[in-house]
Amino acid sequence: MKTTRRQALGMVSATVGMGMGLGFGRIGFAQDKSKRVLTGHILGNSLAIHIPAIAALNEGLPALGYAPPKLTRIDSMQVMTQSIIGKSADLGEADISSTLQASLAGADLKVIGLVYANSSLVFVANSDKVKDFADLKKEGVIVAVNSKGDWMHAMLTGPLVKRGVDPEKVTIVEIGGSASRVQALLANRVQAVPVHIDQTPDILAKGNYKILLKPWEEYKLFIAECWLVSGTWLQNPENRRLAVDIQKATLTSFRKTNKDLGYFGNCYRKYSTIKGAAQMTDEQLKPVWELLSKTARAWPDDGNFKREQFKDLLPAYKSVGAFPKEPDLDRLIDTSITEQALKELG
Amino acid sequence: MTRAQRLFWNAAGIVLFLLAWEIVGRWLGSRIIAPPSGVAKEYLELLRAGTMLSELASSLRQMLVGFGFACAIGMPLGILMGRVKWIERIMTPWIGMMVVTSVAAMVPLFLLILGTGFAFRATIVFVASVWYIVITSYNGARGVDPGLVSVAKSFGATPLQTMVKVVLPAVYPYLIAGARIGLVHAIRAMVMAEMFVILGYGGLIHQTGMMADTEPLIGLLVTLMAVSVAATWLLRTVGNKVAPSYEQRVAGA
Amino acid sequence: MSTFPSRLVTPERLTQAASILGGLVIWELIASQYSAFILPPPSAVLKRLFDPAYDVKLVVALYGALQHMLVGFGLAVAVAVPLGIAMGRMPRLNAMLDPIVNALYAIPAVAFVPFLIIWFGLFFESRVALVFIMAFPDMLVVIVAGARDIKRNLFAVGRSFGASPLQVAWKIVLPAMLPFLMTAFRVGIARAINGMITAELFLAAVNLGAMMKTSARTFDSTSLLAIVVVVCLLGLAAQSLIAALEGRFLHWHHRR
Repeated sequence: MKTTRRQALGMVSATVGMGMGLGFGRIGFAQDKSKRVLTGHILGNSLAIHIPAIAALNEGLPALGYAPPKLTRIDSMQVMTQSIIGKSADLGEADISSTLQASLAGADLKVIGLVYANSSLVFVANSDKVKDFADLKKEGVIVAVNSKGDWMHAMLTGPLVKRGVDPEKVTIVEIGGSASRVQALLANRVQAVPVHIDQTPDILAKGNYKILLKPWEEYKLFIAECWLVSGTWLQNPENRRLAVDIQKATLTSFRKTNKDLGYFGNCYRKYSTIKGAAQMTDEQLKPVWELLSKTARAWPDDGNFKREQFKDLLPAYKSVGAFPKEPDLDRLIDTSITEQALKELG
Repeated sequence: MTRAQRLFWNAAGIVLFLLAWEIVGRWLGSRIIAPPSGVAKEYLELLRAGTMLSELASSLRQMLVGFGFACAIGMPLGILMGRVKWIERIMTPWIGMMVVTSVAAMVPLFLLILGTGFAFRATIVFVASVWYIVITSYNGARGVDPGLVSVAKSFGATPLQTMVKVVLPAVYPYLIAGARIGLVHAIRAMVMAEMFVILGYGGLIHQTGMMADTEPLIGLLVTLMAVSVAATWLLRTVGNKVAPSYEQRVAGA
Repeated sequence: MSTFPSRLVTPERLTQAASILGGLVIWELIASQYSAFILPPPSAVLKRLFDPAYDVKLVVALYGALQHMLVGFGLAVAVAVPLGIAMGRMPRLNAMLDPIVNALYAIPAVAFVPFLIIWFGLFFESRVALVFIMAFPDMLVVIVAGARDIKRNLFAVGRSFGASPLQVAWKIVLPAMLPFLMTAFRVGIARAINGMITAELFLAAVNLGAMMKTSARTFDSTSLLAIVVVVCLLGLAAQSLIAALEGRFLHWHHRR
């Protein structure tokens, strides 16, 4: 009987201990910058377009005196936004579309800058089943996106409407990150998916596939991913300082990338999640770098973070999200962080 | 049937199953269902790559916290319900409702409230397992021989003494059984929640499921099966080891 | 299940009703401290459930959801009952199948979703299949145990009274099996409803699953909770229905 009593006590104390660990784990911030560990949620896959921003977190922040950040990969964009609302991390690599909806619903969120401007996402289709946009509504054709109502869903809807295809008739499923989408297309579980431009050579080489839609031919600029924090988090001066430093690191990384293919190549080999990235040469990466840096201007030296740009894209976001009322961009978008970072960088 | 005979038929069933699977697998191809021979080969690869085991370890850690809370709260609550009339009456309708409510339906809500971190996954596991632990402990406590309790009382035992010396030993096997049932539900909930948010081991299953060939997917499921079987076995064995006298006393009663 | 008006209001039921009411009041008080977005109060959930526009959507979704739930559950019953009785009555068959059933049962059903997508696609067939694999093993376990417990001498007694095998099955085996079958159905229907909503969330989102995903997207936790309540009520209703059937059937069987 003694065993049980001791055992029971042990169980209770262990549980309480775990509970305290849970509770106190979050109050971990120190005054000392070098001890501050940023917890960030980044998307499941990092492709060419993400690389400068991801490198900024991993290398730029430590260069500014911070501890290396703790980054967790979250595959689904919908879940990403929810995880920041649930305060699972300081910073999220979030999707504008679901962020707008959350903010409208009353979530206390702030967008502090862009992960990248424009988009490197193209829609690739299985040419055996899909010849043009009208084929997308055929029976047995399934289009996969990351999450329903996210920006890539929005990005597809505009061109569909423009070509007279009713988006409601297209079967859309959500399967998460681009690596899963590539797999699903190759396994013929779905017939059209949005993937990043640097994922396409591999897909096109594997069979009868074609690029159905290039967003830069459809949109002037498509803003897709942003750095997201919660409003209360940003009110803390220490956190605000960290946010400015994140932007400084990101802008510095953008500038280095635009100037130097070598820097981009190094970062790509280190941080890209694509298979065989570590073996890629600068020469192989040059076309993608040129496209994104020069043609698409995906990494603007000044961050290119302005409220007006979001306004131009509102119709697209609205086409996939049931917006209960007009989105309040002033409430969600905080440009002061990027402005401060620009001022400090000069 | 003797033990040897049963083992023989067990083995025969497993061999026939694997054989049928191998034939079907070879016939339909690994895109539809990979044969066991192919899975075995791939399994070594999965073990070597390490992602499977590291994801599993971190997922199980989070699950165990939720499950630990479920035991720590569910067991005393169940016993109290079985022994104290008004607690029983207050709790019964809630437990009836919670048990029929699908945990999957609660996932989107908890996701909104708790985010994706540790708190989210531990809570889902807790909610999925605690009611089964409560019900089993409750059934055990309710069935305690009233004769034994009145004997203890007539010898002047305090309510606390009665609880520790009479009720707990009698309920013990039920607590272990409740933990076992709860654990099955905890593992289910863990995988379900993780598949929904595409994180951890469940997320790995989701991502692997998108691949063209099914060997790695079956490999992941086999590991999950092994974990589940091993965990219930462990709980049963440890439960019996810790208090064999309880088991005997109840068996003798 | 012959409930008389006098037994409708018992002290037990009163405390239970008070418990639920009290719980709701406490919840309402706590919820009033938070935004509806984080913790919706029960009053808001009730309001949503009594909103006619919402109810129309809900009924349509429920109608769609019940289809794959009932087909899946029906298939599970059709396979689990004969197989369970056979396994319970034939020790060798049981010894052969038991390890396999246990091993497959140890894998969470939802982990089979990728396979269901490969085999049955993303729509109705796949949803039925998920309901089936969630309800089937739980029922099988109960039925095997029930069938094994029927005393062998029951059959002998019947035959010694000159009953035909059919009469033995109808008059002796069925009544002996009934409690276990009903338990199996009760367990099975709860799992089937669980499978119903799981399928709609994990395969292509439709019906209630689609409503939940839309609500999650617009961060409408009140609607999310309303659907959880509906699923819970559906579960309770299904349980009572089976309990009522059991009472009716036993009653009728005895009278014959």
